[in-house]
Amino acid sequence: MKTWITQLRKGLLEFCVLNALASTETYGYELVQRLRTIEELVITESTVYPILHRLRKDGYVKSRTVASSSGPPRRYFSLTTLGKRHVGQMKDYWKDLCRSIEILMTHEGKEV
Amino acid sequence: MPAEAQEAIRRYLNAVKRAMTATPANEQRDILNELEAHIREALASRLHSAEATTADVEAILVDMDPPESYAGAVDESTPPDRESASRPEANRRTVGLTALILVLVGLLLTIFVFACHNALTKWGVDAEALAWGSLAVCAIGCLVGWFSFRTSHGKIAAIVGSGLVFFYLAMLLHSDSPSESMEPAPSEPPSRSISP
Repeated sequence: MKTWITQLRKGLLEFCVLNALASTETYGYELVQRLRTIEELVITESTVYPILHRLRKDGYVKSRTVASSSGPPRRYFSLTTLGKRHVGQMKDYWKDLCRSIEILMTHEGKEV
Repeated sequence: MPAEAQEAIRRYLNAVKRAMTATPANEQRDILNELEAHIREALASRLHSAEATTADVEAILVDMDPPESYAGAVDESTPPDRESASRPEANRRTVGLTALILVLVGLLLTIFVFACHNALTKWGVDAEALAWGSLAVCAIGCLVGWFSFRTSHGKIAAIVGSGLVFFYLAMLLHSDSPSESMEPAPSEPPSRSISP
């Protein structure tokens, strides 16, 4: 069970980061705090920052530095056009997958 | 911030850097910058503009992931089968595109042979061989198209190629060679008026 959860979490990390950025532009610390609220995923800074770097490298995420009144300058992250398209495709696939699994589970439940 | 607190942050970041030895330098730099900003943001939200002490910094560092977790985290952030999974897809797309190009070349050649049949004959070019050649190119493109039918290019190649091949076959039923049917029908000899 533990291995399955680890693999599932690993596969969903990128999807969660992109979704968190899809709604609003955000900076690293805020993003980590927001993702931390999904307890089942156990997302921490050691997973978020490497993913953010890769997503920027892949052209899905862009960043800009903004001065902050409460501390050091903040680097705000948001989705690029390519990133928006990518997350849209991921969402469609996710919905189809959930629907199919739901049907499968309902069907299996009836047979058992 | 006291020097001791800054030293604690530096120690933590150095430990993270050591854990990321397998990570490219630019990626290391990027992650370390983000982590430093993360620590400062955490301090700012905890202290609300009060002066940070070493104890505050250490409390934040304890809450954060241990430096060694960054060794695996970078690999974990990269889907392992991402590249290998996209490779067959890329190959299929290339095959589909090749099929479409072949069919288009066949189609253009066919149009050319049709349009310039008389001129080709006049120039001594073997129009029949060209016609057979275009049929062969179309047939190959069509086959490759059916083979890569899952791609959009493959689908177009298969359908257009099949249409062309059937067109050629239909012409073959009426004549010995495809080029023969391309020749314009000989003009009727002028009918003689029968005068009484």
